[in-house]
Amino acid sequence: MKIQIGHTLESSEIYGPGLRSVLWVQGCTLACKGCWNTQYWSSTGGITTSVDEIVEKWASTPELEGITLLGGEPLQQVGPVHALIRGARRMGLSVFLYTGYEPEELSTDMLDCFNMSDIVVTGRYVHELRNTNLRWRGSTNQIVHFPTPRYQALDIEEQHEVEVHLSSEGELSVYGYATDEFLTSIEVKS
Amino acid sequence: MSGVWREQSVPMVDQECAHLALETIGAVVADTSQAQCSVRIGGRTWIMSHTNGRYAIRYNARQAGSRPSWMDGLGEAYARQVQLKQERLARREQLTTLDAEREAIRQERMVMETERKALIETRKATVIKQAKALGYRVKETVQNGEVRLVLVKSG
Ligand code: SF4
Repeated sequence: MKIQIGHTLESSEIYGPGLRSVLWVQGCTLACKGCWNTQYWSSTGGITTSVDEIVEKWASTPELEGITLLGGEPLQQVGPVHALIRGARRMGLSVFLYTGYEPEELSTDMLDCFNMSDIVVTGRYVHELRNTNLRWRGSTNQIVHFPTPRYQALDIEEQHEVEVHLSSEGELSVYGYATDEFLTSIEVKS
Repeated sequence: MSGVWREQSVPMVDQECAHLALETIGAVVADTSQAQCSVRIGGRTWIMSHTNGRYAIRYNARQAGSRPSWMDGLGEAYARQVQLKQERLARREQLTTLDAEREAIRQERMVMETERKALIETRKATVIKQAKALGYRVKETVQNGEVRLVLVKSG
């Protein structure tokens, strides 16, 4: 089964509990005003890859606690995303799913993905409600759900998180809730 | 919602590897001097210039829209060329019978590696300094040669 993806991060510490592989699913038609990830809107952007290949990569990544799916809108490729979630669960990895949909907007297949995930953040990004000091969310209307018991006892300490990756050749990538001030100071934004 | 920001330039220390990397992603390199060259790709011409000890192709995000997609593959192509060049030099070093030539090749390999490490250390120091100035706590991890800096600030 094929999936269109925008970006991947082999391991990260800011997209949920523990060390996680992160996948930005390509394509989103929800068009939230002020979206930070417009490069993932087009359904034909990014690259086409196979679900099996992604799952194999997770299997060979050391010390992973789980995977995180965001985008774009993961649930707009619900078939492959369902397969990815099943693959992760088979390996005992926890699943953190981001969706711009509200729970009541979910179709049966989407709801299946929701219910199989250990943590789900739902809701559009609302620019007027933007708050970069929230853990795992960008605006105050977004809600964190725990559909399975795995993390239900977890205490979410609200904090502002940014992750900077420096490749072996010195290339910088920044993830999370970085401010313009910080991005400009390290020359990632002019 | 969480963002992803890729750099507006791909930093490259070795000119030969930079040119080879650009060619592997389909660019045509011309007008080469020590300080800069022109790079034709995707129907546009870009300038690659040498500043702060590295070659970089910059784009103006406001004029050009989002980062051009070919730039996503450039960092990887460059890393691959650096690896190939190191292998080429190591082979030549093994094959040569002249001590002086062997020493020159060894020096060239060392310089490349020293420059690469210096670039990473400088950039890492800048990020940590700016992050601390903005009140972040910084945690550093190194995995497969990639440095990960987690910056946290209480809300
Ligand atoms: S759902 Fe996410 S990717 Fe889609 S427009 Fe909203 S913020 Fe952007």
